[in-house]
Amino acid sequence: MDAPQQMKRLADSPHGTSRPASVRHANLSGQVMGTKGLATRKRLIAAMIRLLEAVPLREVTVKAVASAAGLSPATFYLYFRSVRECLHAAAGSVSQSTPAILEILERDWDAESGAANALALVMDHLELWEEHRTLLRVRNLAAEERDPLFMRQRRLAMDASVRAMTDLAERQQAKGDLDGAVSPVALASALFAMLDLVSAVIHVHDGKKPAAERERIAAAAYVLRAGLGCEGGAA
Amino acid sequence: MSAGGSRRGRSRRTQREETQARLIDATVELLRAKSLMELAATDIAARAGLSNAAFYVYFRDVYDAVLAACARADQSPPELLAVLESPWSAATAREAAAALTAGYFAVWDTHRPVLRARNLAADEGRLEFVKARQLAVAPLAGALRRQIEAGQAAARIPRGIDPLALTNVLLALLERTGAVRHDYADLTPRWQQDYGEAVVHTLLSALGFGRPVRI
Repeated sequence: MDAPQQMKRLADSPHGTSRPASVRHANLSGQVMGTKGLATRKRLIAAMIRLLEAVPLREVTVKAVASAAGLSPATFYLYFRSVRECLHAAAGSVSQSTPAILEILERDWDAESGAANALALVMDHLELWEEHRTLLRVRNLAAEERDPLFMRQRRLAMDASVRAMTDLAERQQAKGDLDGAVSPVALASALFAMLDLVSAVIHVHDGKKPAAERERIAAAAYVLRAGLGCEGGAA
Repeated sequence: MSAGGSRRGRSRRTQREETQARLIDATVELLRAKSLMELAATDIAARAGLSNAAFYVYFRDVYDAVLAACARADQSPPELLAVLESPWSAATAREAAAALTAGYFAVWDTHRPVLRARNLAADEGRLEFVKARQLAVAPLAGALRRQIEAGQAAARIPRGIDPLALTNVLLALLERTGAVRHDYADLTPRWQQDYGEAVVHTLLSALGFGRPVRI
């Protein structure tokens, strides 16, 4: 397959270029990427992330990314057609449905274990945010600008977590701990929406004040366990 | 240069305000179709039927114009404040939480383009937008905090939870669900209703008005 055809195939594919790095073997010229090619691609992604830490997405140019990686723009275009595509590839590898988060959601939540489970969930989700803050933040910005590629990506990253919490809510309803009139998937989506925003802005309002952050984490955990029916009411 | 100076020097304040309002109108209209990323001062000026130079008499840049537009998007309207300022009881809480959620969503639906652009700029770390966001919800946040403190005094809400932190978390719940509630409409047949009811349920549970847990 020659280069233009390869480009066209990528553009026409329903998945665009959203496939994770692990299944993408060829660069945009159709060359199979060896160790060196994958390393170059990683270098470009790392350079873009460094730039995004200081500059909004719209101001990050291909030229700047290439130069920050010590490469030429021509090399950049071997791997990505745009900065947006580079971001999409990088953010696509960040899942918000990690095995640790799914495991917590598969546990039995009750009045006793609910507090510890909810706190663990908030902490794990926040840790994920701390590790990938720049990528998740810029991905969310693009999703909130209604870029369909990033809206879908955000949803996919959350998908397994939302489904696991939906199952948890159903179990809570079966036990009689959670109001049967509440839609489990709507509740799971709303609680993750809350969790995502709390994680995103945890430093914005208070700066890095550990005490305020701890209170916010405890409050988010409380809302989770209350929403899922693990809170008795009186305390 | 001198044109800008002479404009500023003019005493016809109303005309000045009118022109500025026209530019803000144009900003809001353009944000309905364009993202903040795509918005240019040239477009705003053209939409308002003014020159580029005129735009810069009133605003430093696009962000400045969007910030002015934010002042119109009040997220603490009186009817919403009234809901939170009246005391909630087991008998009235569900209705009050439903009114709060519906009212918060309605503000988002009315001002969606501006609120989205504001949150975007705030999340980019622009402090004046972070401040605008805090200001827009400040009265509501104050009323919600008093509601939480009343719940703690009545032992409906655990006393160990920090009232300010809980206020911020519940506002985050309303803010994000208000922002995205039209996005995932395919998940259940009555998504808008289900999503709103899930928010009402979560508010009630967190404020200590949830259904008692079977022990």
